[in-house]
Amino acid sequence: MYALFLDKSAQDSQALQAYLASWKQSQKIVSEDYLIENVEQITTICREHGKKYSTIVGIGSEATFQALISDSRYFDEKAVLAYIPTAANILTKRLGIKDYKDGCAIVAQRKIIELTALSINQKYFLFDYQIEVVKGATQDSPTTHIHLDKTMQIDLPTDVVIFHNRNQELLPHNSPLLLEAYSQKNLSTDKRNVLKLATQHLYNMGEDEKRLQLRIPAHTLQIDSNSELVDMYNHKLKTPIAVGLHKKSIRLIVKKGQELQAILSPGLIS
Amino acid sequence: MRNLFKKKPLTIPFNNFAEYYIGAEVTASGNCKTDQDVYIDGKFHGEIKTTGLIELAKNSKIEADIDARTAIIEGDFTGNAKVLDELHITSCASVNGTLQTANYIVDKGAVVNARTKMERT
Repeated sequence: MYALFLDKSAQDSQALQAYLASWKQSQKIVSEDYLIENVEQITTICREHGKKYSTIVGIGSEATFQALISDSRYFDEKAVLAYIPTAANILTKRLGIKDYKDGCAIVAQRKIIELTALSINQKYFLFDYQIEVVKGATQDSPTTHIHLDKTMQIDLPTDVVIFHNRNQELLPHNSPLLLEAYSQKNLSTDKRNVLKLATQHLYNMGEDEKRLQLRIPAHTLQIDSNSELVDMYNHKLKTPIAVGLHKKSIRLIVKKGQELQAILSPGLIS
Repeated sequence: MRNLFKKKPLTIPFNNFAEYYIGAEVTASGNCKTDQDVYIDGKFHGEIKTTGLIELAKNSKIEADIDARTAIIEGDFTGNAKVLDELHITSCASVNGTLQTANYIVDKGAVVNARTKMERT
């Protein structure tokens, strides 16, 4: 059975609703549809009902799909995840989905690949995870403390920390995650593309690279801060944040012919 | 007339595309063992061991034991450095401690107060 999670953007689109209804009918899809007001609801639903679905589809924003990945521990091992977008974003670029109609067609084709997710505070992420430091009005020097693989301690006044999951590459596998810290919140989307960064010329640094404070590989790490920390979807994070290579395979429906490289590093393809 | 033979000051481009990069505002301590290049622009206290290059940038403050294939010291270094191939201390560097290397370059202006042992590899 399918579980369809429709967020606010999907619920607001009557065209999408109508298309979904006819698509389900034509594909003879039996589904339970959840109308989500916020991503926090997804955890409750997945915890209670996650095991009974063979296909879980996030319909709407990237955050909705990310929330399903985060809670993938509640799904059956053989369950597959899919995404139907309401607008273009980096995930649609990775998965090669043009729009919601294309998304529906891709789900119907059921081309499945297996990717490796990493854990952050017992939730999972597939590609990158971004933490932002919320600066208080009275606080002038927020400091972030990072304990790395129990061998290094790092203190820095950072604004953004990004974790790159590099375990999707064909070779080598079991790579440590790559942590990057920046002194600026608004980074270009290319920052979420570690492979593209690696190919850039040394002397041709973009603005993002000038704001780079730290880049370091790690297997496990713990992050704490004297300021509030939120993720890229503005969800408050409980500190200390534990990040690790507690791997989980995620079965994902992708477009036929979509290169694995494009999924992992869309900037290199486009 | 421009002096064509005037030696240009050595400027080493700082590589922040390395897998290990510790920026200017960062304070780190502990042990770092890797086969990648390590670039430090901030403060570090501890031990670094790499089969690659260690570059300690101009404003870095390092109190550490380092073990590397090649090392470039441009900042303030105190500790023991064991460098297999080549150790380059640039003009703005300040070095205290013990140094062991096969090839040793010290630029004019560098302040070096270190016991040095040279060995052919």
